Amino acid sequence: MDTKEFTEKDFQEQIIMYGKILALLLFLTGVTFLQPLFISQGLEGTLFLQLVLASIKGFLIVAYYMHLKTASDVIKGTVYFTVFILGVLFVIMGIDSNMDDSVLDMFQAVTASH
Amino acid sequence: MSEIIYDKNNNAHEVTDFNDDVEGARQGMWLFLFTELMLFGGIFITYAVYFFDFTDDFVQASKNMNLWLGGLNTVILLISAGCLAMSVVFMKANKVLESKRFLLATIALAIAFIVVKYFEWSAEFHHGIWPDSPTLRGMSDGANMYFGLYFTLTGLHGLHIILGIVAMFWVLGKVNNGEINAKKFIVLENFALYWDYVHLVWVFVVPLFYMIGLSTGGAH
Repeated sequence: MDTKEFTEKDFQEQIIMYGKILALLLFLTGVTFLQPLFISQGLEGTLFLQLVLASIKGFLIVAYYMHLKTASDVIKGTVYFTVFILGVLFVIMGIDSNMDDSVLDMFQAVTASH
Repeated sequence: MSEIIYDKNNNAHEVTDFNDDVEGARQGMWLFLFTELMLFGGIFITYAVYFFDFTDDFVQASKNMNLWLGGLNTVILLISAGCLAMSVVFMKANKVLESKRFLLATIALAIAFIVVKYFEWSAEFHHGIWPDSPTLRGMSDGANMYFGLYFTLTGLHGLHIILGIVAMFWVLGKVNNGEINAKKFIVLENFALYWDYVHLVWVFVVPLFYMIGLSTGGAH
């Protein structure tokens, strides 16, 4: 049971907070779809700007809508650990997909010399 | 045999009900979201690898996406997440009727998302684009990978939306019979976590599948 008292002040504060976050997310969504029209970029620029916008939106969703900002240390630890593991997976896959024969040959040459 | 717990003064208490373990319920939900993150994360990793291999094909294939429908669904999902957040806040404040209204609005918006997605997929099927279709087999390997990932990811995401709609009706039933109330709302709160996660996935689907086609030119 949630025993913590939820006062009228808490209610008003949360309504205002969710309203502000919703407005901010709507604004960022507008920027996401209008960015290519107003800030014309090549692929790298577009991808970079789009992912930055998505990351800001993601941060707002996780921090405020999913309450991570006020969550317990155990929950925060679980989430940070998950993101870290996913990051490690991305790096390993990135290295693997970038590894061509020349890198493999170099690795084999080094290991053969020992 | 009953289980006994001890308080800080070493007094024994019989455990009669685990249902009020709010923190445990929250942690359980986050652990479930952990598995979900690994599931969708795996698809995003696959996207990253093939995007690197077939950059120009991905950009060209992305130009076939309907930005209006993608944009409409983004706004629908965003507002639905806001409605569900409001539903939780109103429930905490013991304003059950308003909470139910916001929950119903979320259900309506989730159904609208699926309807829009139906029209979007129908348009693609109309153009002969579906996994392993003759039209798609005639396209480049990269376009096949792009659309394969697009249908897999948006299909899996759509399935999560449909399951979410079913779960919301279940939650609504619990609100109606008083099992979810101002003192006991962890089920509603946990469902809101799930819905926010589904929203979060969509936030990253949009740039990777819809927006890259709007860049001026291919890879440099």
